[in-house]
Order: sequence, then C-alpha cells, then structure tokens
Amino acid sequence: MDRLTKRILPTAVASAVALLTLIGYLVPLDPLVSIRDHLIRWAVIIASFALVLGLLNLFRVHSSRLLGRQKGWPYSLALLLAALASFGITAAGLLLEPMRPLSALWFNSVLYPLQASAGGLVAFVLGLAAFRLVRSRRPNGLSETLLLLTFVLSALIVLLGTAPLPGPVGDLLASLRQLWMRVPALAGMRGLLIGVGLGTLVMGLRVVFWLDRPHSEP
Amino acid sequence: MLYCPKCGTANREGSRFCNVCAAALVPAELQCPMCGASNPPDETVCTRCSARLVPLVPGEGEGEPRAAVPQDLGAPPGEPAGEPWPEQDAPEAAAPSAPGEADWLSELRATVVEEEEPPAAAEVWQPEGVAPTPSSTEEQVTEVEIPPWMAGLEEETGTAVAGRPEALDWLEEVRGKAPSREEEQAEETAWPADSAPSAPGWAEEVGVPEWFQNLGPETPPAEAAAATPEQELPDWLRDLTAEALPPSPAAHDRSDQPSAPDRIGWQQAADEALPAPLDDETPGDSLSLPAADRAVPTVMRPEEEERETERPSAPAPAAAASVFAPGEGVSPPEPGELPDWLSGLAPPEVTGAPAPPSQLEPLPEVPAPPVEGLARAEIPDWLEALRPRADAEAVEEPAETSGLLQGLRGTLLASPAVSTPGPSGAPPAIAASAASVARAELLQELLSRPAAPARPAKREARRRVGWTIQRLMVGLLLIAAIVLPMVGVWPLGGQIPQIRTPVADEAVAAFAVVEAQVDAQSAVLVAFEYDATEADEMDRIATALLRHLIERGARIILVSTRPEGPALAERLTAQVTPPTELGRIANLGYQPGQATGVQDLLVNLSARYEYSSGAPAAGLDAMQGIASAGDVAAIWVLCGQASDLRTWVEQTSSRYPEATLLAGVSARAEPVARPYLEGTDQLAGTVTGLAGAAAYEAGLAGGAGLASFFLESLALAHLAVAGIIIAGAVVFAFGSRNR
Repeated sequence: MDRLTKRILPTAVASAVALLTLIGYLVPLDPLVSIRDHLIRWAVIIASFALVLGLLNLFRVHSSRLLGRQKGWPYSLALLLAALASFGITAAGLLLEPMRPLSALWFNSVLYPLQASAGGLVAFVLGLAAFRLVRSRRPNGLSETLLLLTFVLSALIVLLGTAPLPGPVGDLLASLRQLWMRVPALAGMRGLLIGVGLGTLVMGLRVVFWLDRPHSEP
Repeated sequence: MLYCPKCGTANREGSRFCNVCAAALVPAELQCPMCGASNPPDETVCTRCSARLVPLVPGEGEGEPRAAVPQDLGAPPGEPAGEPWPEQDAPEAAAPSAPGEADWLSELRATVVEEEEPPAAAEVWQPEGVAPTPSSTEEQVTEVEIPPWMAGLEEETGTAVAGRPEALDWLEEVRGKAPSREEEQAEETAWPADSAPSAPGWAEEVGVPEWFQNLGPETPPAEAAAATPEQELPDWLRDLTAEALPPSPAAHDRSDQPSAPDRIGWQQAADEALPAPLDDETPGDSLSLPAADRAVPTVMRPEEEERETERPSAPAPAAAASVFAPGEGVSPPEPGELPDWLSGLAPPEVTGAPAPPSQLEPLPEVPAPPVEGLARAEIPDWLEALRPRADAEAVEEPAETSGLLQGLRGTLLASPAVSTPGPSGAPPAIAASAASVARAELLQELLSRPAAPARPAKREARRRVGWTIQRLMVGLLLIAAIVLPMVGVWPLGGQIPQIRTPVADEAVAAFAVVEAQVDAQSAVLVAFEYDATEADEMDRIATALLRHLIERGARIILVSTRPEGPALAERLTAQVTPPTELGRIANLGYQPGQATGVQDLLVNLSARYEYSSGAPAAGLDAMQGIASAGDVAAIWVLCGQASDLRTWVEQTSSRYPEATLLAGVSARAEPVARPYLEGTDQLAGTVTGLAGAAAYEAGLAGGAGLASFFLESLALAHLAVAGIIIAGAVVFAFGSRNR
C-alpha cells in the first residue's frame, strides 16, 4: 500500500499531467486546450499553498531555534518579529481600508530602504573584491596567467565601456565593450541557454517516462 | 559434469555445491590476510602484495606450504570454505579471542598459551599396550570429511585413507599437540635406535638418503595411536612380536619417542608432500625386487604405510619397534627366519655386523654397500628440493611482540618469506582513476609543504590594520565617486548624459517601438519582476517607462510574479502618475507559480483581482476589452535577474509569438537579454541599466529625470572601480610576496 501511495500514484499523476499539458500544446483542440488550462490553474493554486507551507516552515525552524536557545537565536527572534509585523500590517492594509496608509508606510519607509541598502552594499563588496582580485590567487603557470589577465581585461572593458565617457577614448571603450558583449559574451550565453533548454527537455522526458520521480519517495 | 569429491554425486557444470551433500565442488579462493585480494587456491603468496597466503609453522622445511589456507582462514586446509571447522574447546578456554580477531588466530594464540603451561600427564605418558586416548580435537578432526585431494589419493592407491585430513599435521603442530622444536631436535637424534625400519644401517643399505630419514621428526606423536593390530601383521613379524613380550621397561621410558608407527606417520606426511606422480618417480619403485618379496613392508610403498596407519592398537608398535632394536628385551631374529632379500637388508645386529652407533651420536657418512638386485635410485629434483637445511632448522624465530600475532612464535617466518621469490616482473599496477591520482598528488603536495610559521602577534595586528585601511580606502573612494557628482564637484558635469553609447542607442530603439505601437486606445502589460534590493537601478527604468506610457495615454496593466512586485508598482505609479490618470492603471497584484503562473497570467488576464481594492479586474476601466495578453499592444518586462527574463520570453513567445515584447533589464541581466534581442528577435527592444534609462527618459517630454542625475555618479564610480582593480593588480602582483 505504501508503495502505491508513495511511489506509483505520485509518479503516475505527474506523468499524466505532463502528458496532458504537452498534448494540449501540440494539438490545440478545444477539449485538450481546456484541460491544459485547468491543469495550469491547478498548478498555480498548488504553488500558492507551497508558498504558505514555506512560510510555516520558516516559522517552525526559527521557533525551535529560539526555544532551544541555539546559536544565533537573537537573529531568529528578530526575524520572527519582523515577519509577523510585516505580515500583520500588510494583511491589515489589504483587508482594511483605514490601514492601507500604514501598510504603504511600512513598505516605503522600512522594507524598501532596508533592502535597497543591502543591495547597495554589493557595489562596495564588488569594489573590494576587485581590489583583491590578484591577491586571492597568484597565477600558477601560463594558462592561469592568461585566464587571470582575461578576467581583469574583461572587467575593465565592461566597466569603462558602460560608463559614458567623453572623447575618443570613451568612444573606443564603448566600441570595445559592445564588441565584447556581442561576440564572446553572446556566444557564451547562447551556449548556456541552449544547454538549459536541452536540460529542461531531458528532465521533462525523464519525468514523463518515470525515469525520474522527484515527486515520490525513492 | 562435476563429481562431488565427497559423495561422488554427478552435478551439473557450473555448480558450486553438491546437490546431495552440499559439499563445495570448486576449491575456494584464498584471500590474502594482508590486502584482502583473492588468489587461486594453489598460490602460496599473494599475487598483489606478495604476502604469504599459507602460514608457516616452526619445523616446516624450506617454508614449503603443507596445505593451502582456506579463504576465511577459519577452516582447515583442503576443506571446503563453506563447511564448518570443528570446534576447539581447549584453546578457546585457554585464551579467549580478541574482538575482531580471526578464529584461526585466536586458536593459534591459545596454542601458545598451552605451550607455556605444563602439559597434562595424559599427554606426556601413555601406558604401554593401551592406545593413546585421542584428544577431543583428534576425535573431531577424525570426523572431518575427506578432502578432495585425499579422495584423489584414495582413488589412485585403491586403499581407504584414514579419515584424517591433511590439515591434521599442520594443525597439530600449530596447536602444540606436536612436539616442540626442542623435542623435535631430540627426536631427530634419538630417531635411528627407536624406529626400527629406519635404522641407519638398513636405510643406508637400501640407499635411503639421510634427509629422508630426518623427515621423521615431523610426525606428531598423536599418530602413535595408529598402531598395527597383531592379527594384521605378517607371519614373520607376528613371530617376532611374540618373542618381544613382555616389553622391557626401557620401552616405557621412551614412550615419548617416536615408534614404528611414528615412522609410518612421517612417511605418510612425506608422501603427502609428494606430487601426484609419486608412484612413478619414487626411488622405492626403482628397486628391482622380486614380485614375491613385495609382500614384505618396504619403506617406499605408500599402500603399506597407509594400511599401517589404519591399525589402531598400541602393542604392535612396541613389538615392531623391538624388531630392529636388539638389546632391549627382544631377541634378534635368526638369519634363517628371514627371507634372503631381507637378510641382506636386516640391521647389522641381525646379520652379525657391528652394532649401530649410539642414538645420540651423529651418524657417520658410510657409503651404502652395493646390494645385489637393488639399483641405487637417483633423487629427482623435486625431491631434492624438499631436503631440509640444517641452518634453517636451527634458527629460532622470535615471538611476535605486537599486533594481531602478539605472543605467537614463528607464525610468520621472516627468512622463508624473504627468500621466497616474488612474482616475476614488475608488481601489478594499481588501478586508480585520474581523479584519484590528482587527489593523491595534491595531498602529497600539501603534506610536503613546510609548515607555515606562526605569525607574530605584532605582525598579525599590523596586518589587520592594513586590511582595515584598505577597506576604508575602497569604501571612501566609492562614496566620493558617487557623491561628488551629486554635489556638482565634477569637471565633466552636464556632458555625460549627452554621450551616446551603444546601450543608449538600444534604449532609444525601444523608445521608438513604444512610440510606434502604443497610443491612447491601446493597453500595455507591465511586469514588475524585481525586488527592493534591485530597486536603485530598476526603479529608474520603470519610472522612465511609466512616464512614457502615461504621456502616450495608454492603459497600464501591472502584474508581478514576485510578492513584493505589486507594492513596488503601486509605489512608483503613485510617484509618477497624476491622480487624474490613476484610473488608467490596473494593478493585478501577485501571481504565484513562476513559469506556470506566467502562463496562466497571459491566458487569463481578466480573471484577476485588483491589488488594492480587491475588485475583479474585468470591471476595471483599464481592463476594458482585455481578456488575455494577446489583446495588449505591448508587453514590458522589468527584470532584475536573468531567470525572470528567460521565463517571460519563453512563455510569451510560445503562447503569443506575435506579441511585442520589450525588456527593461539590469546591467547584470544584459548578457541574457542580448541573445533574445539580436539572435531570435524575441525581444523588440531593451533598456539596460541606468545608462539605458537615462537615454530613454531623455526622449520624454518632461526631460531628464533621476536616471540622468545618477548617470554621472555611475560613470565616476565605474572609473573608480577600474582604478581600484588596476591598483590592486599592481600592488599585489608586483608588491611583497610575503603574504
């Protein structure tokens, strides 16, 4: 019975849903398209519940960490308090019209500046990392030296070419940057995208043919 | 067909065990006790590490193995690996085995303990005329099934072999049932006088080499129990036995010395060591004896020896021993009572020759007199190889002082193992993958590095101060690069926004697309796919776009697959949209499901609810005539990360390939947007980063905005970061190597 409920049934449902959705795209007839759209809608609803489950799991993990006085428990306490406050204020703003200004104030004055400041630190971290770029690893051999020089040269070209600089030097740097982005960067990224597409296709086929069972127990 | 060596049942080819008695049909492989490798059953040393597969025991000549050790080292040689080894009670009681120790090792250790303890009286002396009581070990070993090699010997000789496996010899020696090394040496010196058939005179006369006579001490005294019953003796020997009674007291004194059955036992042991074609090559067969005389027991006839071993009674050995031991209460036979050929072979006492030398005196090298009718046999090479060396026997192996073999003596003889020739050629290469080799080399490199000396505290503190200064310098430089243009301290102030770069050109192209396709009657779907951490850059793009769409008078439908997206969209629209124009904007809120959510969003756009009021989207003014993404004039995707852009491009292009899709992406996501822009035309235009936003808003009626204001700071910050990289490279590449 366990094998049926934990292995066969979930795998069969996943494979059947995948096949029906795929057929709905390949054969755009009315019943198949309707079934496909219904299945997609169900997936969105399930994803909503998954979001709630993730939130509950976050509360469970940090609550146990707080109650057990484990290492870093003050951070868990701050996280739980901030999450509860954000959830309460946002929910109140959505449900109650008088609370809407408070909800907007909470987002614009608390959440947004905090996250924007955290994002702004990235520039400083990247600047310091650029300063330590050569220090972190001394190149060993010609190949590593060439790789390091390529990396440093790429960073300088993109940085100086993105910033609008006046004069012929600025034009030269902008042209170099455009060439760099259109040839090597474009080729590399296109290769990555093709690889991602092939991987997605293979993964889907493996699920359809029961070769992979990510939705059931092994 | 495979025939069972135990019961003879025919089994199918490939069978491993007998269908009737479950005996093993194939010999078990030998597992190396050192490296664990499997070896063929006939190997004596491991083919991988050259370790001994067969334990050497003291007194074993030239290190030749007597039998192969079974795979699990817990069964006797010659026995199938799967059959249980008879339980041993005494050794286990004497020395309990250590945890994880092999059974055979525990038994060996127990044997050593027994050797150190005084032996029991019953093991030392046995009353004459009574067969020695076999120990429990002997009884159990006797019950062991006949191994395949013995079964084969039985078939060759046609004689039933005693149910005593080959393992008994070595096992008894290991267990201490066999005489110790000192006892064996004493027996070697006392051998000729007590073992009648091997009397030196007789042996020399028949041409038996001395080394062959010395094989006798290997016979365990326990085999003395295998006596010859009187009724089975030949007539001439029975007569001699009658004259020998009663035995002399001297026979009691030498009860621990080898007797005639002992000699038979060691001959049997020597025969076991011989290869299969023994009958054809033994010197005994080269004797040109008359056919009638072959009824007399000879030294080299294994049939008689085996028959002798089957005789259980004890009086016969004493009588047999007295046949060729004159002066010990037995009268020498008359010359007329012996056959002619035996008279020639008889000891000197019988024939009137001088008495043999004393038992303790070494035998002189007397050339054997030629005997009529006997041809001296040549010793084959294989037999010569069995000759023990006196110097090797004199070496006393020290006891092991540590490890699993602690307390054992001579279990692993060093000298035979060293003298044993190893496998020919180079040792087999160890199969290792390239990754394993690389890891091993890395480990070796790490281990070979000298230990870094501990930094002095003062130097460590100075180093920390240096790093703090570096951080402060980088931070201050970046802050200065960002702030100075804002306060007007910038020599190129006012020139930067007018500079046209390729990124700016792309933004201008996107601006032209909107101008061409969006008017006051159309609706535009705008997806906010970024959060507040990316808002510094993305908000500038979104602001420029919203301003443009409001200027065009288009309806704006805001969606997001991020929980923060609706709040960000509401915040921006409140900033850039006049209150009178808010009715043209519909914020449909958050859509879960990522790629699936995007697909559902594109298809069922009118089935949403408004983010702020919760009203159905179908009733909003901005949603009039809009059911799906196919009804909008353009789709703008504002992505801070590449994955969101890829999802939207894939879902939109697959469902609505004719839709006009534009993207406002951060500078980080630009490499991902470029293939869709230049390769497949899935993107009609892109606005990249702050530079693109500045170029886009430069075309708006309201003029430049915050993007242009921040663009000067961006340019100077880029210059600062480039300078930091160059400075760091110079400092650390050509600076001090003491890091």
